[in-house]
Amino acid sequence: MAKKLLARLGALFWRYYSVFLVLIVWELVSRFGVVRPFLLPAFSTVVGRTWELFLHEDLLFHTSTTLFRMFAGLSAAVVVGVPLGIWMARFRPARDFFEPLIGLTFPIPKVGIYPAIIILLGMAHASKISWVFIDSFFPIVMATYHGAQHVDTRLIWSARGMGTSEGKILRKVILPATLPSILTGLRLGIIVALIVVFLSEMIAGGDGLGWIMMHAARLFHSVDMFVAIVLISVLGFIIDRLFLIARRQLLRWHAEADLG
Amino acid sequence: MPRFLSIALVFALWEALPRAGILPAETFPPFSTVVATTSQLFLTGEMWPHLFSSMYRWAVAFVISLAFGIPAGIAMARLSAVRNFLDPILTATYPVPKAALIPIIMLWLGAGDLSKILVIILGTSIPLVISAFHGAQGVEKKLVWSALAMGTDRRLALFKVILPAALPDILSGVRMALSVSLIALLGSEMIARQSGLGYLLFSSLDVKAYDLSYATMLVIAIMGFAFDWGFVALMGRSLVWMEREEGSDG
Repeated sequence: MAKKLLARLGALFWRYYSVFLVLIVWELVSRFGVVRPFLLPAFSTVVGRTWELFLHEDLLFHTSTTLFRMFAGLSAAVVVGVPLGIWMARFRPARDFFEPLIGLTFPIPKVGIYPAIIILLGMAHASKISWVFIDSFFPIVMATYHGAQHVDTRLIWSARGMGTSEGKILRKVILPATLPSILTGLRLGIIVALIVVFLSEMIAGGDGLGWIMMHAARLFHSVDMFVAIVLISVLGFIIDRLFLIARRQLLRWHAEADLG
Repeated sequence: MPRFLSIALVFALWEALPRAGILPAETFPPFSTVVATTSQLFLTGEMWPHLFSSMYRWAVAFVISLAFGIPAGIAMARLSAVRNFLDPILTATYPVPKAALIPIIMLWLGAGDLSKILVIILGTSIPLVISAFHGAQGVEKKLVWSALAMGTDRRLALFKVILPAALPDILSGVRMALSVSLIALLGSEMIARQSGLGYLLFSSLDVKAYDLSYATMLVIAIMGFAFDWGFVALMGRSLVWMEREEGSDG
């Protein structure tokens, strides 16, 4: 048992050896003064400081604020994007109406219209969540639309032929067949949401991990800057991994389950 | 339904809502006002230096990213040592917001062009590396083998077989890189505020010169749009040979 575990850990280490190598080089370069610790605090210092901030300062509050904004915007994007994508794929007038609109707004870098959102909604939660929503909406709606468009029509016909109601076809045929595409779009949406929430907090400030980064930068407190970046990176990595595990569960029946 | 009804509707609402006083015109000026301000800024010459400094940073960073990212991705696909080294690092850093690195890179390199260009390169090269890697990895081995068996030397096989076969993937990576590069450009300019569109965007917001903010937003929107359309047009031309084989699924 222990041997097996050790073997698995060993395999994991070799698979990710370059990541560990980077972390070790980071630690040594700072410890031995190759780079001034102010410019690159040792990895262990950053981890220690993170722990300290969690215990004695309100880092937990800032982290949860960031996560709250991210998931609020992302859920809204799913709630709007998935039905809209399916509707566009199944209903011609909906496609004719929304497709040009999405084509026009998709290539616009949304960070460029963030000031308008701030002007209209203020600097607090609402503008940040709206930006997360807008930016993560696009990959989700486009992937859903694309996926729902390519559902095998024979599946729908045979379900209809067997007297299945339209509502049930939607839930039992179209939605499952579109699920792999939805999840691909959602993964992109998660990554975009993470970037956007951090940027919005860096720009409009107040609280959250992005604000910690900017606040530390203004005070030239370099360790705290690294705390913010390490924390958002670890969060991103964990969320992405959890998502991949969930996808594997959801798509067990599907050939794409093992991708990524 | 007419094809561009929705777009016409959006612009009509943008014009009508502030004019009718439903939205306050100072904080949400009508479309025609924004267009007028924007053209004014171009005519007086106020916009040009910012546009130029943004485009300069973007162009330098994008060219470097192309020159580095695509070969790195192909090397990952062809050489297992490169793949074993880079793949875990890319997987681990993929969900990391690169824009978050801006303050740290500024700590290292100062607030000038160098750190901004580096941030754009970091963000832009990753989609390029990943797409070139996937593209080159998906190249049918038989194609490469038969080219080699017919006496093509390895370097020629790279340019004549692998690169063309990986091109569709690479190009979709370029499209993604285009949008990422604009985000990194604007992000870096609005955090290290000296010049450029990102600077103009937020310094005008700070002094409540909203008409200037909206004009800058319009310029940025047009830029993003022009990049994407330019790219699609270019791609349509360069991938004619592919359409014929794969149907319309591109």
